[in-house]
Amino acid sequence: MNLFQIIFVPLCVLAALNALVRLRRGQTGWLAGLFWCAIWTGGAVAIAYPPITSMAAKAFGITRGTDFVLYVVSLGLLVFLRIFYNRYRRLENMVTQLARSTAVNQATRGPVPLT
Amino acid sequence: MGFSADARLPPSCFVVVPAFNEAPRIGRTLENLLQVASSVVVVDDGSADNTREVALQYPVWVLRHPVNLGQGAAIQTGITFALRQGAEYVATFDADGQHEPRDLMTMLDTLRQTGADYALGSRFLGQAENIPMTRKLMLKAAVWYTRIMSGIWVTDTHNGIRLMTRRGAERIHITMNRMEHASEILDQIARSGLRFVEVPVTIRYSQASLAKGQKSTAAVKMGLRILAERVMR
Repeated sequence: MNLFQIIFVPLCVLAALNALVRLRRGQTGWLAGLFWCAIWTGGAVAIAYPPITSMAAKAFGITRGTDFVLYVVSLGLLVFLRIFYNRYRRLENMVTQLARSTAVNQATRGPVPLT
Repeated sequence: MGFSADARLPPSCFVVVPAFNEAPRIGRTLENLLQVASSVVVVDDGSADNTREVALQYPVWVLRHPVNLGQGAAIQTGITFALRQGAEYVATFDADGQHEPRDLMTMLDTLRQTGADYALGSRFLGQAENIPMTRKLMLKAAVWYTRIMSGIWVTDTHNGIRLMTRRGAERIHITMNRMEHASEILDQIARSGLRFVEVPVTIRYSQASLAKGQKSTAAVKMGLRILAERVMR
């Protein structure tokens, strides 16, 4: 094992175990718990045994394992970014509607001049 | 276009004034504006100073956002309120006193003569007094950005003085709370299929309006937010 593997394989395993513990304690939903457990386990396996990424890459017709990982991570991040941007905009619009409603309902008029 | 000194906008023409921390300036702005308008709606966008109290000394409607949302949100709040009050025309007008109130008369006259639904103020067809060169270049870049992104051929994009008919105002739904609303309004005008005209207006830059106005970095951030909105939605 090289230095990178010595450091990061245990870290990924600990992160996977932490996800399971949080799931068991009910601190996270089952979907999130299993998702993060799978991600960290996959990370640990890919770091400990790099040829596995090349095997996955070949299955999809990509030459290098690192390219496969890069594509998956990039696409995943883009999807998450879009989801969270839209969620942020929806929340922002809800706050705005609430503030607008309060402002309109509590409109006040300054002194009207005598004619 | 000449008007008599006592010419005024009809009461059905509501002027929306978005204001954020404008206590030192808004009194003067309202005094000038009330010489031509009788229906004025000040939207205090969660100011930390006493903008609301100062505005309430004048015969105007005052609305207040409980938190600061941005100029776009304040304008939409004012438009929503004006339409509920039965406005036939809705104008927008900056609180810092850089606009000339009598330009609203010209804009109303232009709308009536042309049958258009939007009159957009253009400082580049009119006058921009004391405009710094950097601001001018920034605004020119914004004009080209808007022409490319929105496909609407205008000579000025981020000008706070506008006038629209009720029909035009009903087609405006600002969702971008901050300064990007100016581009969003132009997008919605382009998509509405309604006519717009540009009207020459005068803008007077002062130390105060320049201090509060858009910085170059803010303009870049605004451009990125507009781009994000187009790409991510």
